[in-house]
Amino acid sequence: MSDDEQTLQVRKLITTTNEILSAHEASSEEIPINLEGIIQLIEGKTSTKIFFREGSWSSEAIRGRLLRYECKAVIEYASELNPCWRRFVTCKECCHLLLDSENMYTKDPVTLINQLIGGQFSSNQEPEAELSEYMAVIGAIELLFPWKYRKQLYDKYINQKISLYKIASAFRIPSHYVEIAFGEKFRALTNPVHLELA
Amino acid sequence: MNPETSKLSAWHEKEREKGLLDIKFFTSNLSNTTTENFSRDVNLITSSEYNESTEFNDNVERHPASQVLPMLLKL
Repeated sequence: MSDDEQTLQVRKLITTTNEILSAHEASSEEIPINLEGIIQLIEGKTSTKIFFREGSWSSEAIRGRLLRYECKAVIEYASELNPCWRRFVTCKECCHLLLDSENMYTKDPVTLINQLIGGQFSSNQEPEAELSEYMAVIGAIELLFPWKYRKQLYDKYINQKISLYKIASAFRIPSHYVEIAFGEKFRALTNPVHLELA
Repeated sequence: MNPETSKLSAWHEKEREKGLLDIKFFTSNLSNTTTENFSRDVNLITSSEYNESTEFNDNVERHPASQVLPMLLKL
């Protein structure tokens, strides 16, 4: 994907997540972000009823799964996940519902698994699958750790006045994703779009 | 095709007949797994017992952003 295409995709994504956040903030402005409220808005926007399944399975490789049908979707996660991971897994899978177009749907799960394991996303087999995964993670960060808060906390973090852990604890997301959000690549990709849309 | 991978493909085909449009995974550590092992885990998820709900169980304590943010910025 070219840089221009990537910017276009990120602009589309942030426009969509901003719409969700604006509608959400009209009723509540809390930290951590009220994911139940976000989910209701995504259900309305996508005309999809979402069911949640907390399962007793345990897997080193899989934290969650999304099954999408015509008017319903099922999000499954392991009961062993802590609240931060449960929130992020659920939000990322909801972002697939919100952001994916039909050409990003998985036609063959075995091909997808091979790509996930082999890191063969750069091949031309199903480039849409890579885009879908990439955008869903960005979407989940945008919704659970919105830019308006990130931009206020970034200087504190860079100057080592606040730890990733403190921020992650406040927003109830895994600290790994706070680190990604404050990383150079993520900021270079999203900040110009936020400034343009502000 | 290996047994667990075949089982996954067969399930997926049946589910498509029931209207499944898309399937996605949230993955974690894939460094020591194989397609067959990953498929085994997917099959495990498919057959496991679960509690289903139409509401997400977001059991975290929330506070007004106007209180939390100044506290974080003051640290």
